[in-house]
Amino acid sequence: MGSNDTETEQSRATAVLDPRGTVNAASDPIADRLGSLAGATVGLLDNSKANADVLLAEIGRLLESEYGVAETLSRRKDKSPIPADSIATQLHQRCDAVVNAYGDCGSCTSWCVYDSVHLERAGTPTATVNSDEFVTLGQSEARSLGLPGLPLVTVPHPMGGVPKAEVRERAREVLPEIVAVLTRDRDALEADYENRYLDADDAVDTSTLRCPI
Amino acid sequence: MEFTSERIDIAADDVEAVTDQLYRAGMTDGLPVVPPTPERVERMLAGSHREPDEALGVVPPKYGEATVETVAINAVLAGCRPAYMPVIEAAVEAMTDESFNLYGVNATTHPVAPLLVLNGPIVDELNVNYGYNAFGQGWRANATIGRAVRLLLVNVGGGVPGEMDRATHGHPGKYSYCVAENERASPWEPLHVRRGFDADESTVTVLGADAPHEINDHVHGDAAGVLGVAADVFATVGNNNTHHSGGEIALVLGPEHAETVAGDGWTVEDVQWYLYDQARNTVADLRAAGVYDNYTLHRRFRLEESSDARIPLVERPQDVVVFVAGGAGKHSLALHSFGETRSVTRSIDGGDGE
Repeated sequence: MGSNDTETEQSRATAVLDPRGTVNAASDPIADRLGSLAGATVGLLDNSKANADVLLAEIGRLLESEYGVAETLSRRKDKSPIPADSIATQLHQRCDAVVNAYGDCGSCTSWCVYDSVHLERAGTPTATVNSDEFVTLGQSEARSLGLPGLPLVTVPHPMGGVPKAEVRERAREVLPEIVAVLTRDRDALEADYENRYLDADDAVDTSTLRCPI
Repeated sequence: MEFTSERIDIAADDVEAVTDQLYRAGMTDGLPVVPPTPERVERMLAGSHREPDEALGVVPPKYGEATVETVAINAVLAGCRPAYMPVIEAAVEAMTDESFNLYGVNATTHPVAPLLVLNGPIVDELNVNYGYNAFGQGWRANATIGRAVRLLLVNVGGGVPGEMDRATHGHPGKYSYCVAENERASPWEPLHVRRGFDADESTVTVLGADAPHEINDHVHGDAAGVLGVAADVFATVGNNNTHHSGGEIALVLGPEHAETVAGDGWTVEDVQWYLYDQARNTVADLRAAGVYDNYTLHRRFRLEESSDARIPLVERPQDVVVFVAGGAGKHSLALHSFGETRSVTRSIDGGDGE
């Protein structure tokens, strides 16, 4: 066996091929934001998840009463795990900005983020709502779709089954951030949001939902 | 040969070290893997009829590029034979067809996995199990083709559990979910022929399916009897097909049930119509299950004011996918789906001396 020792030493290290392939997403900036919401028309994109209508109605009401929004336009997707397509196009054509709610599960987050990327690429500033549990998925998807700076604002998870009064309270809590996302300087927003959730340093305890590898 | 894929250095040249390192990097399904060394990947590529850099599709939600080379690397990991390559390639093409909605399927909280159903000469060529325990363990082709597809969804698609795969529970078919139709025991034309392919063509059909649900009927000797039980199994509340209208359900008939149904003179179209008509829930039952507003509201329910109205699981009879699989025994399987997904059938190249 002695004569094989050297060969054994050399063969200890090895290389295998990476099974992950490559991602070829081009990165685009988010849309220019509005200077102010005064006199603006704001679209409310409801993806039909439970309580999204309640959340958006309250956001719309407050945008008009407190921020001078002239008009809101509500549109609802038939179902959440599909793209908004023509609805998004319509909101882009008729609105100055859009609030899109929300991603609080896997497939609905996918298509919620997709719709926002669609709107942002078309030039419509969009505030995208994800539940805090799903926002890392949303941010991963924004990166994969080539819009890493997409501003995602969070509401507590879950949203389904929550009493309407509490949903309205959450709308009031998230409203200042939504307004900021639609009106702040674009570059500052991107800098603020592109690593906000996935690379957050603050340790989140995921042990109740996920066993470490 | 030259590879475009990156290399990963492994400290020791053994299966355990490779498995451990790739496992910790989230690149496996938790089972031991065959190390994808350049030599093994080259041998795997010999089973393909395409160039290594050919793009087969972009796999969401990460939107990684699935090339033939990437498929080969994952096929090595899964323990495939080179001859399986064309099947996996066709499955990737089918899954990345827009109508399959892989962007939803691979990220969703719903328990869903792409089920591969193989038809044509390739089934015998590769010994893909269509008989006893077709959905279970024991056949290398079924086990490793399905596994390679899962590894691609993880590695290229980013479907790492808890990251971009957010399945609340998942289901056991996410390790591997690949069967063949039992064309020999089917009284009807095979699935792929009904979908416009030639009988001597080989195909893979992918369906975004739940775990199978048992349909046990040892009693009925008539089509409506057997299918009445099947309809009851399908028509439960709590599955996505109750309220998502864009999807399909699949009935996997065991050969004995298929013989009973066909023996009554029923065609596949009759079976589809029967389940469309009978696999329904009343509006009252759906309302009681929370299917009435918001997330679950759908035009079907707006049309129906009556609590007694019965809502089908699918929009059209042809959305009931029917095929025959399994060995002897009076069992069939009900497969609900993700709800917003369409099954896609693709030709497998090289299936029969092509």
